[in-house]
Amino acid sequence: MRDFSMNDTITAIATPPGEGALAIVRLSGARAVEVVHKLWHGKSTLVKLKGGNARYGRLYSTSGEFLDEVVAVVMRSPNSYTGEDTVEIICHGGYLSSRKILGEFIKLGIREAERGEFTLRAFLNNRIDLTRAEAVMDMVSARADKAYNAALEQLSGKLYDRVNAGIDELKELLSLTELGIDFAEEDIVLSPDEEIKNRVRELSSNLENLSRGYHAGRILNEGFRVAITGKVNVGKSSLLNTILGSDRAIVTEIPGTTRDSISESVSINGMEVHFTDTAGFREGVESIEEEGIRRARDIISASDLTIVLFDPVTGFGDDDRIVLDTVGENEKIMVMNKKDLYKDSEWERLVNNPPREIEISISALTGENVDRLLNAVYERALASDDIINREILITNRRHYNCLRRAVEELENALSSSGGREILAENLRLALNHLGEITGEVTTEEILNSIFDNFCIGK
Amino acid sequence: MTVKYDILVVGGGHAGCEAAYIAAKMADSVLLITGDKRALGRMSCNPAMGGLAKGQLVKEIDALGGIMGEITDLAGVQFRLLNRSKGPAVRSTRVQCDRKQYEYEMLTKLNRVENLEIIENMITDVIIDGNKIIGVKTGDGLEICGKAIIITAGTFLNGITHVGFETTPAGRYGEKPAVGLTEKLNALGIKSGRLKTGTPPRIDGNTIDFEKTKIQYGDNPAPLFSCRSDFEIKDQMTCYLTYTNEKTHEIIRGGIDRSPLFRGIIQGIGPRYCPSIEDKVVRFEEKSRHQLFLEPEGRDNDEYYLNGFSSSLPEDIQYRAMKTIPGLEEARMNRPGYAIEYDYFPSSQIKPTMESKIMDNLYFAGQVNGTSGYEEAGAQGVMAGINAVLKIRKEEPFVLKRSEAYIGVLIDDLTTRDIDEPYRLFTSRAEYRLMLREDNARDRLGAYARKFGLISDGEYKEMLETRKIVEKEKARLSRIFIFPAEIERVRELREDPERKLSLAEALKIPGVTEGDICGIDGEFAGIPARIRYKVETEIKYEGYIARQLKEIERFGKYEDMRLDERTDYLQIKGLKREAAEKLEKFKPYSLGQASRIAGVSPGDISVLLVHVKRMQRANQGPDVSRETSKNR
Repeated sequence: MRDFSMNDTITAIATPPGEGALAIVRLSGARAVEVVHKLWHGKSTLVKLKGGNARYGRLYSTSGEFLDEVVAVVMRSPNSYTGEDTVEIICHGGYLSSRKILGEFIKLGIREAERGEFTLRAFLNNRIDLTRAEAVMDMVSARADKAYNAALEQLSGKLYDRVNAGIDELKELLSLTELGIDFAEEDIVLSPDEEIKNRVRELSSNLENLSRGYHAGRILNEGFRVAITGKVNVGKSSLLNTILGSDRAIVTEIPGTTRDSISESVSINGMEVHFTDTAGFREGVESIEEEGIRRARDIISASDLTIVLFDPVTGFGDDDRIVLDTVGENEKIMVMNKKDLYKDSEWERLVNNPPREIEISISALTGENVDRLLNAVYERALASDDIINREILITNRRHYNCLRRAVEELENALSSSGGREILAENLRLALNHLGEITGEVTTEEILNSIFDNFCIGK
Repeated sequence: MTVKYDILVVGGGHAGCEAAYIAAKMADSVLLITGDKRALGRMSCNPAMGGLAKGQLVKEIDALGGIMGEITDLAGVQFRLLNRSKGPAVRSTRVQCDRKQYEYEMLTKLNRVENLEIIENMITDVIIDGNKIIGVKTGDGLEICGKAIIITAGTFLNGITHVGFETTPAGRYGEKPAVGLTEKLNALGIKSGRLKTGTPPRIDGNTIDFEKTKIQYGDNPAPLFSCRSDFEIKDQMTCYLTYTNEKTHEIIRGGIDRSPLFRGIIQGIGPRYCPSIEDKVVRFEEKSRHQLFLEPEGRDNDEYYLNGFSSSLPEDIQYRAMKTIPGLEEARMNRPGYAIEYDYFPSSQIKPTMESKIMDNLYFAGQVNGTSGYEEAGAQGVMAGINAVLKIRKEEPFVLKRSEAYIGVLIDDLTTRDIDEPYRLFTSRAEYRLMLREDNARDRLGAYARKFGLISDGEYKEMLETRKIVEKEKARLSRIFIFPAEIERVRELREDPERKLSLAEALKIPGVTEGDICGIDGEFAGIPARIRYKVETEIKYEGYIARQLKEIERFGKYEDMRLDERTDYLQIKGLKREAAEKLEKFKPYSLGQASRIAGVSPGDISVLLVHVKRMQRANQGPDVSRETSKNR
């Protein structure tokens, strides 16, 4: 079955990509309010909120992680742009916040809107004047096919081949499974369940591996994410400022509107790199609260690499340990700052003090060695997820989602202890998801495969 | 002279009998025209009804008030539930029938139907008035008028049988074909094509050495088809299993040069799932044996049907090959197998109501639409019968969705796909297979049957009563908690012996059956087995069905969004050329149907969506935008 529908709930980031102060994530459809409410922590509930009202609150992921402070604007059907229940989430601009929020909605089963889909719904729900019908029609016809073609073009030959190989394997597995159901009376040796399941397992891990190419593809497409962390006064903001070559990143704190982080982008050798300062450690050493650590951890885990800054003036202490604990297993570069304050001979001794794994010494203030740091970041970006060696990159999020869903169904197939008809059901769904990437597979093809390979018929 | 009826049914096979029977329940006067009254519901091929996916069809026909299930129960000689070891969704009933008794019961039953007349004659022409069909003409000059006409001619239209190079014009072995009608319909613009099917030899049971075969027994108790059958089956007959061997294959290969199939004499396309023995031997050369079933033709009939040995080879080859088969060394062949070629009308020319897109009030059902199988034919007959009456009453048509019934899958496939071989249903054709089960056919279709007056008040009440018990039991079982130790299978699987679970949860575990629950809960044990089975099935599939329902809901709006059959798709801006041509050919019934036509992309569907909406709003007049603003 093809993936278009008009009665489900859709979502998209409504603001253009880039670094605005604010971003808007929009949801439209019957589940819009309910889904936001699931992530909502605020004084007032959204569920009973009348249309045309806005509320301030915090969004937490389903696993309890803080996402952002937001304003939610609720509009009720039919009084919204699309004519459906709509929620607009106004969150902080920059890369992280809106993406994370969107990701949570998708996790809750909300579909990412196709291009122009909000407008299409607006038209279907009589929200757009009849005279604009032609324009809408032009747009949607261009829309779906262009999106499809664009997606197809994005499919590298190799990805296409791999997905098709997956489809072929699934077709065969499905035909073997169906053979045992629809042709149970035939004199045919059936593949044992274990054999089918082993092949499902292998396919699942292949597709899983393939889907990891999304990460690499995303880095090329959307940029490499670097967190800058370290204890208070270690020079995080200075480093960010130096990187940006301007004072743009300086923040003045306005009580009540505290932004948890600052994120800026630069281009290194043509690759976009987003630097985010984990401001959670800004508070005084004694009051490094849980909250701050958790925010920092969020930013770090959403980043591809973390620059950990150390301060030779204060030496290595408990607060540094907390920082290192927070970084945990994530990819990191250990950097000693404030080189300008010391002579080279003293420096050698300092660097050999704990934590002893300093890779680069810099002075954020004078800019010394910052270029080296940026080069190191670039090298790490290239090495990350084997960008260079990975043959197959997935740059389209829809492709990635399809692969993920296919893998999920295959895993369901493996964990289910139901009968063959249940196995077939999961395989069929997995096949549908892969089919969404390269083209639909019909039941007729499954039957053809059976008739071609087995002697059927009394 | 002219006589006038509400509904005329041309042909008395499985489609015709169902169409006439169901139409007579709804209309004032129905006439069934057949070449031979004693051949009503004749099983031209194997003497069995049902089987995988087909059993579900029979149950659906029965739930809609059709006749096939009841007749099968009366004429059945061996009853089995296939796929018993697999999940309930893919279990299907199959019944071996007494061929003669089936015909006898059918005639008896139809004779008793009020408003239904049966005559013997051959139809050679139709009478039209503009774009509408108003009657038929018989070969001997009789004109019969009908408000709607259902053609169910089966394999009779220009039928030719083949045995070797010997060809005989026939609608079935030894029966005259229907000549002339195809050409008359062609002249009206209805296209036809040729298909082929085949049947195996019939063998004298007195000459078979059953000792050399494997016996296959029926199930006890016998599973019946009809919810209206209230009797038990006592003695069942047995089937026998035997195999071909290399010697058989050698003889068959030796006859290939005289095979009409391989020599290109047979032009019609045959079904791949039902190949002839020569086809199997040639295509699967590496297979050293092929399975054959000896199926009884009836209780007081010594003839056996050699299932799996369908052939159009010359009689002498068939005979010599048969002699090599264990158990058949001394057998006498009463009649050789044969292939039959016949005319059909490609089903892209009918609407999902079974009505012709070209001639109003003309309906086609059964093998004339390019299908194969008694059950597929019967299902179309029911739908054609109901829709023909609805049409003359000027009421909304009755179209089943793919999510509602195998009948829906069948007809949707016929009307959205290019069918190039005889079409047969498989469970794998149904994307909502877990929901389309034998046990819930009445739950799915009973309300429709009730609405059209096809089942009795008592039957409907009983159906609702059953539903109530099932719901009550499901709720009750989720409130009773046990320790894992109380059910062997649960004890084996559960790690924590102290953690209680509800009976419903226990029943969800693979391997736990309603029987286990009976051992614990006396109240459950007290309800009829049929209902316990339903409870078990619904609990076991719960999660999967919830998912399927979600999927159905997601695409549901498209299924309900009707497309105007007068739409000129070539004029819609934005449609791809290929899509427009396909849409023009199939003239889909709904947006959902349109989306299933090969070559129609999601983009095209969006365009259609906007088109439909635009037409609706244009028809509502210019005030729509004001109406919208009122809603604000």
